Formats: sequence, C-alpha cells, structure tokens
Amino acid sequence: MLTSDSQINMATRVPFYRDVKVLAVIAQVVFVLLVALTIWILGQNLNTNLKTRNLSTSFEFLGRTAGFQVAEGSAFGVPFSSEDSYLKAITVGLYNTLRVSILGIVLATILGVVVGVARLSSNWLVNRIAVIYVEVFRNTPLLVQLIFWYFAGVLTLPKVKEAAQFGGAYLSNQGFFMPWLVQKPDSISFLPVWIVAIILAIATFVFLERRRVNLGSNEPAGWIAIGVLFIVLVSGYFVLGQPLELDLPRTTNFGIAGGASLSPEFAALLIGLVVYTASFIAETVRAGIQAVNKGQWEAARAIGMSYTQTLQLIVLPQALRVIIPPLGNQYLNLTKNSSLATAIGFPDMFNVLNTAGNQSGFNLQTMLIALLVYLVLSLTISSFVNLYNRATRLKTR
Amino acid sequence: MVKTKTDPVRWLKENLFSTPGNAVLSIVVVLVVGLFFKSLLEWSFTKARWAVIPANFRLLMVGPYPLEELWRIWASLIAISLAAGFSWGTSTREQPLPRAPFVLLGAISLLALVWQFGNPSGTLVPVACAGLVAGVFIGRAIRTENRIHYFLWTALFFVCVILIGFDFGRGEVPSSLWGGLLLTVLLSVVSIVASFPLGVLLAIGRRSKLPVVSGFCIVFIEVVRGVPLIAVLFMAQLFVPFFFPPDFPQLDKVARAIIGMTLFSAAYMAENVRGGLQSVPSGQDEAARAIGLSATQTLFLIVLPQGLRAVIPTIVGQFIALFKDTSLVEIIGLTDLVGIGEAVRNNPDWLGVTREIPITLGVIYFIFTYSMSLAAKNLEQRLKTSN
Repeated sequence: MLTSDSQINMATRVPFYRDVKVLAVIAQVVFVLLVALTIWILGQNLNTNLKTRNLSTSFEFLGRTAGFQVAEGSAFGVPFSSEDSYLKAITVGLYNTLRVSILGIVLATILGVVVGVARLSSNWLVNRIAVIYVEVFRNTPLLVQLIFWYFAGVLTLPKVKEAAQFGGAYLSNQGFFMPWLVQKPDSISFLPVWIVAIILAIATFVFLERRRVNLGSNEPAGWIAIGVLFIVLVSGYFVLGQPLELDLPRTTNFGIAGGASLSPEFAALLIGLVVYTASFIAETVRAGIQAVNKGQWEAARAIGMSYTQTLQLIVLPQALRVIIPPLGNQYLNLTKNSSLATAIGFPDMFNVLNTAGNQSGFNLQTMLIALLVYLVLSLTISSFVNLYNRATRLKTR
Repeated sequence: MVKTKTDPVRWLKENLFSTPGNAVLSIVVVLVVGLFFKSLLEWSFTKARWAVIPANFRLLMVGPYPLEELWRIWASLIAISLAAGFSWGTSTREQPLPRAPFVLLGAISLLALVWQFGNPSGTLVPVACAGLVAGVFIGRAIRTENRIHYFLWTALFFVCVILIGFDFGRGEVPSSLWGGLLLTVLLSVVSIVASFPLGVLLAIGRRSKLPVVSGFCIVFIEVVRGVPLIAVLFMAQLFVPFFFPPDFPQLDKVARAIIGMTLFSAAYMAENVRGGLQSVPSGQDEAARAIGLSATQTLFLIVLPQGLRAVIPTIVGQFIALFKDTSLVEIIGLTDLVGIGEAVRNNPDWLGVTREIPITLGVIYFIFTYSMSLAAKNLEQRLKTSN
C-alpha cells in the first residue's frame, strides 16, 4: 500500500482520545464532577432537612451556659461549674480524655512489654500464662471488659465505711484513694523544680547517649538521668523550704477526703484500656523481638556480652525498629477507645460532647467538634511516631 | 521430628526450675495463679447465680425475635451448616477424614438432646449438626470447581438475610425485633460484606496516579481511621436521615448502624487491600502490559486476584475486630449481645448479678473470635505452602 509522508504523520500522531495525558485530565474532571454532584445532592437534602427541622449551623451555642455538671476533672486546672459555658465543659472533657489516654499509654506500655517478654520466657508456666492473658483479652470486646471492670469490679468493692485499707490507701466502691504530696498553703510553688528536673534529666540522657555513640563509652545513661532527676527534686525541695507535705486520705462522714483519688469510672476505664491494649502491645513486642535475627544473639554472646547486655544493646534497639510503628497504632487505638467511657459514664470528651449536643440540640456541631479533635489527636500521635521512626531509622551511608 | 518421651521430673527441671531465678518465679506464679483460681472456683460454685444464663438464653441468642418466627433462624442455621460442611468437605477431599470434629459434633447433639429434651432446640441442634456432616460427605463426593464456593456463599448470604427479615405471608420481622447474638452476627457479616467492594475501590483509588482521585481516597481513609467507631456510629444515627430527601422512608436504627460500620470498616479494608496490592511484584504488572492487556484488564485480571488472595487472612483478622466492635451498638441503644446482657443485668429479678453476664458474653465472643483466628492462621499456612 502506498502512503504519502503526510499520511504517515497523521497515523502516528496519537488522537486525543487515546492520549494518556488528556485521558488522565478527563478522568479527573469526571471524578470531580461526580463527587461534586453527590455532595451537592446530599447538601441539598441536608439543607432542606435542616430548614424543616429548624436547626442552625452556627457555633454560637459554645458560649452559652452549659447547665449540666461534669462529674470530674477540670478545664486544665480551672474548676468547672454548671454555670460555665459549653466550651468550658468540652475542655473539661478533653482534659479527661487526655488524662486517661496518657496514663493509659504509659501503663499499657509497661504491662505490654512485661507480658511480651514473658511470652518468650523459657519458663513454661510464665510463658503459658502470658499466652492465656493475650488470647483472653485480645479476643473479647473492650466494651464487655469495661462493663466487667466497672459493674462487676470497681462497684462491687466494699463501701466507704468498710473500705479496704493498706498503707494509708483506701479501696472502696467510691474510688481509689492514696496518699499524695501536695503543696503546703502559702509556700513557694514546686512546679518549676519539676520542670527544671525533667529538662536536666533529659539533657543528661541525650548528652550521655551521644557520648556513648561517639566515643563508645559505657555509662548507664538511663540510671544516671534518673539519678539527676531525683537529686534535683530533693535539693529543690530543701532549697525552697520544704514546700510539700504528705496528704493522707481519711474517712469523713461524707466519704473519703484528702490525698489523690481515682473515681470508680476513671479507675474502671483505665484498667480496661490498659489491660486490653497491653495484650496487643505484648504481641507487638514479641513479634519485634522474634524478628531480630538469631545470629545477632549468638554473635553478641560470642564476643562476650552478657544476656542483659545482649538484650539491651543488640536485640532491643533492632527490635524497636519493628515494634514502634504498630506500637504507635496501639497508642492511637487506646486514645480512640477511651471514647467508650460513655458506656460507663465517665465524662470523657465524647461523652461531654454528646451530652452537650443532646441538651442544646446542636448535635451536628458537637459531632463535628468530636471529629476534629480526634483527628488532631490522631495526627499528633502519628507524627510523634513518625519523628521517632525517622530518628531510629537504619542509617545507610 | 522424632518425639521422645521425657520423664516428668526432667521436664519440670528443664521448663520450670532451670535456674534459681526461674525456680523462684515458678513458685510465685503457682501461688498467685492457684489463689486466683481457688477464689474463682469458690465464687462460681457457691456465690454465682448461673441460673441467669439459662433463664435468659433465648434472649441472649436472638433477642426479642418472635417465638413463632424462630423457624426462619433455624432454617438459616441449617442451610449455613450444610454449606459450611460442603466447603469443608471439598477443601479437604484429598485428606483422610479426621475423627475429632465428628465426635465433638456428636457430643454437642447429645448434650442438646438431653439438656433441652422436648424443646425445639433439643431436636434442631442435632439436625444442624447432621446437616454439617451431610455437607462434608456431599462435598467429598462431588467434583467441583473452587469458584462454586464464592457463588454458594454469596447466594447463601442473601438467602439468609431474606429469610430472617422478609415477609412470608405472616408478615415480616422488623429489624427492631432482631437482637442478641443474631444481631451481632448479622451486623458484622453484613458490614464486612458491604465494606469489601467499597474498600477495594478505595484501595485502587488510593494507588491511582490521578492526584484528585488518590487525594479524595486518602482523605476519606485517614479521616475515618482517625475517628473512634463510636463517633461514627453516633454520626450515622444522627445524620444519615439528614442526607436523604425529606419524603424518603425513614431508615431504621439497624440500617443506620450498618451504614456507619460499613463506612468505618471500608477505610480499614482499603488499607488491608492496599497492602495486598503492594505485595504483587511489579513484574506482574509489566508482563501483563507487555502482552497487550489494557490497564483495566491488568488490574482486574492480574493484580487484584493475586493481591486479594494474599490478603485473605488479614481480612479474617479485620472481621474478628469488627465482630468485637459490633458490641459498640449497645451504646447507641441496639439490643445486640451486649445490649441484651445489659438489659438482663438491669432486670430487677436478677439484682446483684453482675459478673455472670459479662463473663458469659466474654466466653461467647471468645469462642467465635478464637476459632476464627485459628482458621485465619490455618488459611495463612495453606496460602504460604500453595504459593
């Protein structure tokens, strides 16, 4: 077949409907149009529904008087009363969520690591118990566990008058009470000492770790940092003229007063979250340790390291790299799961928002706030995990 | 592997008393665990009022489902056991028939016969067990293609849903009467099934080279994954009606809960499926394109089948998590297993009965989730060896 040059050119030029770049743009435009159409239809429905039900979309209700009491907690130190605004009530809820989440994360990590290591123990009994623990708590719903801890656990403890008592601490169905250090009236605030001590301890740790990495010296950085913390706290205590005193809980006619206390709801929620999350963390830790090549153990032992040294200097640093990402996920889950507090009446943020929404009729707004705050919490935790991940990543030079 | 018999003294020495530290640990653990079990047994044989469970057994299983319509559930159960037996039989056709499961089924049937003599469950449990066994033998006898399982189970899913809810001349059973374990199973199965196609689409969308599509999918997935399920459920209860035209028939609570759980589950499903798609080597993609398959053909004929196969155990894991998570519908006022449990606990007839119900619920959930996780492990092993 004879063809002229121009015809060949025509044939090889890709028509626009087969050009990948053009197709990509068209596909995206179609997709955007479809999404926009869906949103528009849903938005129209929403709009008519809101109008027929006379619902507003403004957030001005946040400034109104809440009119309900929040059972415990404060707006980051500022006490809350039912005359305060909705915004303040929600802040109290956020404070409670953060309180239970942070405490829960710390305790769940400790328990999870213990169980995870026990799961690898050569002691048959310890090993089996760790397995049973993990399987039982991982395979039952957290809600059932919470109901158990609250209604069948904390609430069945003895009454205040007959509270179980050991070493100045009380266990009763109105909560846990324990002795606590409190600020003496008219004394210099002890808070700055805490801040200075923590900063100094972290600085010491970082400095010693750097030195260890650079010079290969072998100080127990963690212990020295804890020592620094302790020394600064004790010397601060005496320098400021002993501003703290021990506050012992004591029974009164109305219950137990003084000391530090955990409400039954807080205690049940904390126990539930810690026990449940620890079973997942234990599996993560076990998998992380098992992921470290056996040759690493053998090589470390062969060059004369002790068992503890091997675990601490060779195995754990490598295991951590595997453990951290799923661990971050567990922290996220714990924070999100703290919203189950609603089931046992602990005023966490979601519970407060729900109450506020039901009472004011501004459900749409309160749910949006819940969405946003949980998203911010999630993003914060995952960005911390990512930061850590980047810092401990294998450095290939 | 040669298994040698070790004498108990040596076993103890090796496993419990290998070092002084281990010996101390063993003794402490024995004491603590012994004390725990002693008080547990003491409580469960003297103080516990286990009568609460048989007295409310039907409630816990099916909730307020009408008695005269219970045949629907039994019919579904028998159909499911037949199909389960069939699938089991066909997949183990090459292996010798194991004896233990049949002994177990026989024991369950006998127990049901003796314990519930005269009651419908006393006769129907053995019938269901017999259906399972019959299914196994049918499955072993008939040559089938693997594909038949997908059709069978998809069909069965719709048959059961229709059977449980729809009108057969005597009126339908509205979802407000579904409850207990029935509702828990229905919620989780329907949500996971519905979230599967949505999750696959989201996963494909997230991998898309078109920034608008992938951006949309990423935002949806990450927002849903960043929010607790309970918030999603509340939002579904409150706002789903808002997004329908005002004259649209009102969706019931169960349907709204299913919508919420499906959207929630789809985001997690998308991440799991994405993991599976990423595990398919890029050579597969390139080879498919090289022999002239289009991008769509490559995706649906080459990448997806392999990716989804790799991700089956993970999806079982997700189903387990979802099965546990359905318990949250109690908070929005549905009568699932936990909801019924709470109702019984608050019943004045059973005042002071607090531990028995959560423990029983825990055991029921555990039986389901643990057996599913064993199945997932088994499946994973088989997928590994077959590759």
